[in-house]
Amino acid sequence: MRRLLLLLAGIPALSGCGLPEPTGEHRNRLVVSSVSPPRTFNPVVARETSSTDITDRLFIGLTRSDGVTGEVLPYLATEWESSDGGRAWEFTLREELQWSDGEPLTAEDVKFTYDRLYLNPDIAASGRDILTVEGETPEVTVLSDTRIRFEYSEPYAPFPRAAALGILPQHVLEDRVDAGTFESAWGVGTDPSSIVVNGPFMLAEYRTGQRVVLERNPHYFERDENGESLPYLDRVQFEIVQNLDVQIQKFRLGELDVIGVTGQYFPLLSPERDRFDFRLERVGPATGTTFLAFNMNTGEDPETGRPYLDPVKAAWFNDVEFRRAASYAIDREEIIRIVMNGLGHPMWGPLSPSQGPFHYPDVRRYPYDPDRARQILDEAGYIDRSGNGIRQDPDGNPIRFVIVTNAGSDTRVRMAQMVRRDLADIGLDVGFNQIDFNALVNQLSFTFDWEVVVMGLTGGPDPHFGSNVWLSSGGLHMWHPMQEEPQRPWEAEIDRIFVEAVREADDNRRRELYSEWQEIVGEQLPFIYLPNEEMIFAIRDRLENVEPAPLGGYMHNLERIAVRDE
Amino acid sequence: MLGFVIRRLLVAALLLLAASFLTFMMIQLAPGDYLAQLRMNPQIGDDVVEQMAERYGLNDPVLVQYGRWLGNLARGDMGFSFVHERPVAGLVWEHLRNTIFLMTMVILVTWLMALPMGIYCAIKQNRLTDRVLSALAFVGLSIPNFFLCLVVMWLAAEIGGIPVGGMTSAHYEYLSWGGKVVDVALHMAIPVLVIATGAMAGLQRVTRGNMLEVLRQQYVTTARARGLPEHRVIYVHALRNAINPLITIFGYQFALLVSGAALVEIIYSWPGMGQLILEAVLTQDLYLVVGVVLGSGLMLILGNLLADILLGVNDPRIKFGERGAS
Repeated sequence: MRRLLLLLAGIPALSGCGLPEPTGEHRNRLVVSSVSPPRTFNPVVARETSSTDITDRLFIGLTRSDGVTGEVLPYLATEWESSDGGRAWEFTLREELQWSDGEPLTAEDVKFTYDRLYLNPDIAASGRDILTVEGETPEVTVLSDTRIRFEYSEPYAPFPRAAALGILPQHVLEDRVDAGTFESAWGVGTDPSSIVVNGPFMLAEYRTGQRVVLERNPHYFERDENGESLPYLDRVQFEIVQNLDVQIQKFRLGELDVIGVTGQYFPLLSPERDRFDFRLERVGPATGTTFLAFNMNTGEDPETGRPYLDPVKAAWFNDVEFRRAASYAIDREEIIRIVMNGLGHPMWGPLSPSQGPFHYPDVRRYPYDPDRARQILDEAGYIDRSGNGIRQDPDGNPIRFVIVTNAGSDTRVRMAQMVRRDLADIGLDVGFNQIDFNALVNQLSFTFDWEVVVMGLTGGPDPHFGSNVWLSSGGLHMWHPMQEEPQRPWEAEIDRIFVEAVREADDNRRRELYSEWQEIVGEQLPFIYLPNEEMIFAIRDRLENVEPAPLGGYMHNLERIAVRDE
Repeated sequence: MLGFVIRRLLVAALLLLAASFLTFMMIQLAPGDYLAQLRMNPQIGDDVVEQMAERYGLNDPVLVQYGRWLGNLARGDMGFSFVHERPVAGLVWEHLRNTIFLMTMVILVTWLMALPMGIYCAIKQNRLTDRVLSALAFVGLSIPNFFLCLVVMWLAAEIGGIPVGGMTSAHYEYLSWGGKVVDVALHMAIPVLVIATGAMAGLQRVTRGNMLEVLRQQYVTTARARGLPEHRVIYVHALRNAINPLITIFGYQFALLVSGAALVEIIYSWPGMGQLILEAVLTQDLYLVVGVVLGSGLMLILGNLLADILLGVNDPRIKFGERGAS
C-alpha cells in the first residue's frame, strides 16, 4: 500500500517539472500547423492543400503569383514575351540556377517537367488541366540553356499564370518516369535527402502523422535588398494537429507561431494578446465562394428515360424571378452575425474581392427584403391559394423542396439551416438534409437528382481556371452540367466570354470580358452567393515580415519571414 | 497447447477474411468514392479523375476488386492507399506502433493502480477509503472519454507545463536523450490519464467483487485458521483465484482499448490508428480502411489469445485442446 501511495504521489511531481527545455540553436525557426498529414512530396500528383502547402515551398516555377495582389511575377524566369497573337510564349531563365544538390537547373529541366510530367498522358497530373486550352497542350522547345518556348495552336492569354507549376529535376527523376513509377516517387516514406528541390526550403524530416520539418536550401538563388541570401529562417516545421481547439491551445502555449482563426475564436483570443505575446490580423474576406444553387437540369437519364429532376420543380428553378426572390429573402447580415460572430462579408458575385484584379464590384445586389421577395413571387404566379401558408405554382403544385449540404462542415450546415428558415418565411415549404460529402458529390456529378444545394468552391485570381464550372459543357457546371449546347441564352453568352477571354492578349479587355460575366451571373443567379468569413491570423510578436493576405495566406513570402532577435 | 494456438489462429484467419469482405462491401455500398473530393476541384479535369479511377481499378465490379485484393494479400501485399500514395502495410504499422505504445502504458497504469485499489477496497470493505474509492470509480466510469479529454486539456492549458496535443514537442530533436524521454512521457500524460480513468474504474470494481467472493471461501478461512500470515492468505491464496476472471477481461480490454483510444487519439492529435481510421473512412480510401480493420481485428484476436494462454498459465486446472475445455 505504501508503494501505491508513492506511485500516486509521483504523478503530480512528474508533471510539475514542466516541459524539458531544448538546448542549442533552435530559435531561428517557424512552427506552424497543418490539419492533416501530407500525402506526398511529389508536386505533380499532390492534390490536397496539406501536401501542396509543403511542396509549394520545395518546388518553384517559372513564375509566381503575388500572395497579396494576385499579380504574376517572375520567379525562375526573369522575363517572358508572347508572339503570334498569344500562341507562343518564350521565357528567359535566371543565370546559374542550381538544384539543392548543386547540379545546374537549365531549360532542359523545364522541358522535362512539362513534357514528361505535367503533360504526360500516363500520369494523373492535377496541373494538366490548366495547361490545356480547347483540348490542346503546348509544344515545348529548348532554345538555349536559359531560353524556352511554349507553343499552342490557339492563343492562350493566361499562360504565364499556369507557368507557376513547380519545376522538377530531370537528373533525379528521369529514371522513374522511364520505369513508369513516377507517380509513387517521392511519397511520404521517401528518404528526405533524396528529394532534390529548387525552392527556398528542402525537406529535412517527416515524422509520420506528427510533423514535417523543412530546412533552408543553401542553393536557393534569391537575395534580399542588402545582398543577404534568403530565406532568413533556418527551419520551418509543420505540426500536424487535427483538432482546431488543440491548435488554438498549442498556439496559446507558444508551441505554434502562426495560426489562421475564424470569427468564432476571435473573441476568445482577442483579450489574450498581451499575455501570450501575439497580434491578431484581419485581412479581409476569404477567397473562394459558398453558394446556394438550384438544380435546373432538364435532362433525362439515358438508361431509364426518366428525367433527373421532377420537371415541375425544374420549371420553378429555371424561373429567374424565383431565384431572385430567394436571393432577396436571405438575411445575409444575420448569417454573418450568428454563424461568423459578426466577422464576415456578404458576397454578390463569383469572385471574392480578395481574389485580385478580376473582381468586379458593381454586380447586382439583393439586400435582405422579404416583402420584395414575396411580391416577386406573387407577381410570378407563385401564390398561396389554399391558405395553408405554402405557395403553389400556377398549376397548383405546392412549392416544396429540400436543401442539402455536406455534413462535417459546421459553417456550411449552419448557413444552410438559416437559408432554409429565410425561405420558409416567404411561404416555401423547405426541408433540410445533410449528407456525407462523397455522397453529395455523387449526386452532383452522376445522379443529378438533387434539388437545392449549399456548396462551396475554391477560387484563384484568374477566372479562366474556373472554366469547368462556367462553361455549359463543364462537369462542375452544377446547375446543369455537361450540356452539349447551352440551353439558356445567358449560358451561351458566358460560354462566348470564356472562350474569347482566354484568347485575349490585352489585360484590360480581359478584365472587361470577365466583368461582363460577373454581371450576367449577378442577374441570372445560377449561384446565390452566401457570405464569406473574414480571414484572421494570429501571429507571434517575435516574427517579422509576416504579411498575411487572403490569397496567399501567411506563407506566400515565407522566405522573407524572420525571427526578431531578443 | 500448441495445437490450441494453431487452431485459434486458423479460426482467426477466417474471421479476418470475413471482416475484410464485409468492410469491402460496406465501403463500396456507400455512395461516392475516393475521387469525389477531386471531382469538386475546378482545377482538376475529368480526364485526370477518370484516369485515376482506371488506374486504381475503381471501375471494375466489386467482386473483381475484392478478388484482386485477396490475391495480392496472399503475396503479402495489403494494397495501396489512394490518399497517401503508398502501400497500406507500412502506413498501418507506423500508426499501429504508436497506438500499441500508448495502450501498453495505459494497461500498465490501469492494472498497477486498479488491482491494488480493488484489493484494498475488498479488504477494507465498507470503510471510508472503500467508499471514497468506489465513488471515484463510479465517477470515472460515467464520464465519457472525449469529454474528460477536453476538460483535462483545458486544465492543462490553464496550468501550463503539460503539452496539449501530439506525441513530441516542436523542439523534440534538439533535446538530450533524457529530455526526449521526459518529453514523450509528458505528451502521454493526458491521453493515458484519460483512457486509464475509464478502464481503471471498471477493473477496480471487478477486482473488489472477485476478491470479496474469494475471501468468503472456506479455504481462505482454513488458511487463516492454520495460522498463515494474513499477507500470504491474501496475496498468494486468495488473489491467485480472484484474478482468473480478470485475465479474461485483460484480453477484451486490450481490444476495447484500441477502439476506445481512437477518440482520445483524434482529439489529442496522437499519431495512432484513430487518426488513420477517421481519415481513411471519410475519404473512402478503400484499401486503407480494409487494412485498418484487419490491423484492429488482429489486435482483438491476439488480445483474446493472450488472455487464454495466461489463463492456462495461471490456473493449471484449465486444459487446452480437450473436449469441453474453454
